[in-house]
This record gives sequence, C-alpha cells and structure tokens, in this order.
Amino acid sequence: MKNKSKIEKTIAVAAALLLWQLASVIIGEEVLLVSPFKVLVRLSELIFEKEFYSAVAFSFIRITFGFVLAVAVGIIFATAAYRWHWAETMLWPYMSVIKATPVASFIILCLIWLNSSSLPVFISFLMALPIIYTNMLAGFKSTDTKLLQMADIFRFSFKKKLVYIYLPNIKPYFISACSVALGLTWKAGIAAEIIGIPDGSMGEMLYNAKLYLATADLFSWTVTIVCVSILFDKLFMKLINTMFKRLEDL
Amino acid sequence: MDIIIKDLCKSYGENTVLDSLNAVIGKGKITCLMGPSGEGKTTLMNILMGIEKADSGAVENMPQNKSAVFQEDRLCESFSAFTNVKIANDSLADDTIISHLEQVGLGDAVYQQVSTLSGGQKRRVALVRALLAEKDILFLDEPFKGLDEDTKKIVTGYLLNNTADTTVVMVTHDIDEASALGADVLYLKDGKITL
Ligand SMILES: Nc1ncnc2c1ncn2[C@@H]1O[C@H](COP(=O)(O)OP(=O)(O)OP(=O)(O)O)[C@@H](O)[C@H]1O
Ligand SMILES: [Mg+2]
Repeated sequence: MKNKSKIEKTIAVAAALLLWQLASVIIGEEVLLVSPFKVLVRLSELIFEKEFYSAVAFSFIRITFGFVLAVAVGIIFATAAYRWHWAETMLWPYMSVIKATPVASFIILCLIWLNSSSLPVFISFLMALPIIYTNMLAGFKSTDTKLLQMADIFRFSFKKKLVYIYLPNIKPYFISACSVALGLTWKAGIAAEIIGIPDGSMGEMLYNAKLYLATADLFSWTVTIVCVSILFDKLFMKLINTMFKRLEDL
Repeated sequence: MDIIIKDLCKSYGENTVLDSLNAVIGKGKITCLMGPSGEGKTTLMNILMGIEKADSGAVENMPQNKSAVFQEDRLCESFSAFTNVKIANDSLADDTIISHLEQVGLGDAVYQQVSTLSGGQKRRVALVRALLAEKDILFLDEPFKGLDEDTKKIVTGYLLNNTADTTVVMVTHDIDEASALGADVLYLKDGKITL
C-alpha cells in the first residue's frame, strides 16, 4: 500500500519535471523559464561554494530562532489565557492585529525599528506566534470537562492533569499548528530578507538573481529553500513526537 | 455517621429534576438508587460528589475522600489499563493492580491502551480504578453497564469482596442486582425518594 503510493508519487514528480522541460523548450527563452536540467547543473555548482552554506546557515538560524521563540511564547501565552480569562482578553487585541496585518507592513516597520539582519527573526516570530497561540488555546479549551471532573474526584495533582488529560488532548492541535507555522515562517522570513536584503542571507541571493535576471539561480535557491524547510519540518516533528513520548512515559 | 440529604432542589431551567428531596445514606452500607430513566439519579449523584451544585438544600456528613465509576467511563484513553488505575492511587504496588485487573478478567489487557479495549472491558477498568482509589465513599453510576450475565456475576463478587465497610451509593436499573448486593434501595420518582 505504502510502496504503491510511493511509486505513484515518483511517477507524478517525473511527469511534472517532464512538463517543465517541455515548457522551457517550447518557450525557448532561458530568462523566462529555465530548464530543470540547467537548474540541476547550477545547483551542483552552488553546493561547492562556501557562500552557499553561509547563506543557508544565516537564514536557517534566524528563521528557526524566531519560530522556536514563537513556540515558547505561544505556549506560555496560551497557558496563561486558559488559566486566567483576563489574560485572554488582554492578549486578544495583539493577536488579532498580528493576524490581520500584512507581512509587508511588519517588514517595513521592523526595518525602521531594527537592523536588517534581525529582520527574519522577528518576522518569523510574528507569523508563527498567533498560530501557535490560537491552536494551543483551542486545544486547552476543548479538553473534556468530564475528564477534568474525574481528575478532581481522584485528587489529581496539576502535573498529573497536564500529562494524562491536557497533553494528549493538545497534542494534535500543537502538531498541526507547528506544521502550518513552520511553512509560513519560511515563506515570510525569506520575503522579509528579499525586502530588507541582509548581507549574506538567502534572501539576498534571491534578490541578486532577480537583479541579474539569473533565472537558474532563482530556481536553484528556491529549490534549496523548499528542501531546507521540508527537512527541518520533518526533523522538528520527530523531535516533538519524542518529546510527547517522553512526557507520557514520565 | 450516616449521610443526610435535606430538602435538595435542582432544576435546569423549567425542568425541575430534584424537588425537595430527603434521604439518608447509611455509613458503611450499600445503597442502591433506582428509578426510571431521566428522573435525576445521575444529577443527584453529581450533587453528592460535588461536581454539580444544588439550587437549595443541604448534604450533611459527606466524607472528604471520594471515588467513582461515572455513568461514562471517563478513562484516559491514550494510556494503558494499568496506568489508568495507577494514577488514581500512586501508593499502589504494581502487583496489586495487576492482580485486581486479573480478578475482573482483564489479565490479558493490563498493558493494552484503553482506546483499543471493548466497552465492557473499559467498564471493568473504571471499576478497578474506583475500587483501588483511596476513599471513604464510593459512587457507582450503572457500574455493570455493557457486561454480560457471567461477567456481571464475577464483577459483583469482586465488588462485594472489596467494599466491606465502605459506604457505597450505586445507581442501577436492576432490582436483582440490588438484592445480590444486599443493598438498601432508594426509589427516585418525580424529584423525590418514594420508598
Ligand atoms: N446539564 C444539564 N442541562 C440541562 N438538563 C440536564 C442536565 N443534566 C441533566 N439534565 C436533565 O435532568 C434530568 C435528569 O437527568 P439525569 O441524567 O440525572 O437522569 P438519570 O436518572 O440519571 O437517567 P438515566 O437512568 O437515563 O441515566 C433529565 O431530564 C435531563 O435532561
Ligand atoms: Mg444517569
């Protein structure tokens, strides 16, 4: 079953690549649509440059830092909001504004307030925070009150309630929030870098590609960003799952 | 001391469930609460347990340490039968938990995740949890729900073996169950005890 879907997916990817190749041949203008083969060649050149790794590291560290910060703050805020109604009320205007404000506004504001190299940290933090917060809070609130009554009758400590009732309920909310937030932080973080152009970032590389109409570079960097973000997503989800396992074995 | 229920009233909007209900629950005895469906047996249990508040009236001499089998199982579904019993009473030895689960026919399911157990198996986990918790009073809301006749016999024996001198309040629809346990019977109808 699993093998079959893997084969199907491989065929789908091959078909997509073929279509891309065909389109680039028909268009016949490399600046408009570069062929997948050219991208592969360019990518294999790039990975032998030192600059490539420093750019990946630059953006990866900042975007991840912003994301991790958002997870930590989101957990604390959601716990407080669940515990104290006034905390939820006081947080409400901030969360609503952050959610509704266009990323571009934040990017420009951050550029005025901060230097461009801390820009991706703040943007990815701001993108992830309301998602983590909202989902965690929804997870808390959807906890079965009947189970909580049971916990009171059997005089569960707070730690017990957390491990045996709250966490199992919050887990799916938290995991899907992290997954959504991660994808968004990468997109918004890189967008911020393209506008702020911090020295030595992946965003700068993309910006340069645009400047010189180097479509092969543009595609190569895009492929790199997609790969890095997917890899990190997989790694992070593994980490979360082991963390939950640890907690359950406590 | 016996538990004394005085003039207990409870309504949900227009629906008067308990109407100046008076009753006595004997200390160290088994008391069965009977009556038609929807008459307020679970509501009365919830008020006695402190989960719900009565509109007026009083309950006197209610002990501090309570334990219960609720009308629903209310188990931690993603954990094993063993863990569910353990977390209700940390001081239990592992062997005790396993032996009790064996006594109700759950020897093969000790470490099985509760969500994968059958309805009747879950019911028995809830029962063992309630009986092994530290308690001065035990509430049982239809504890044998979903059990076949043979299993019910085994579990009734298990219950009797483990509730000597414990005050038990039990909801049941089966008068034979009540007499098998040698219980006092309170019959709830129209918001009052009528027997
Ligand atoms: N939270 C609630 N809100 C509104 N009405 C309620 C609530 N809980 C119970 N009731 C009503 O109170 C009445 C008594 O319900 P209760 O669950 O106590 O009955 P019961 O005697 O336990 O019935 P059964 O034998 O079917 O379990 C019912 O009419 C029910 O609809
Ligand atoms: Mg009921």
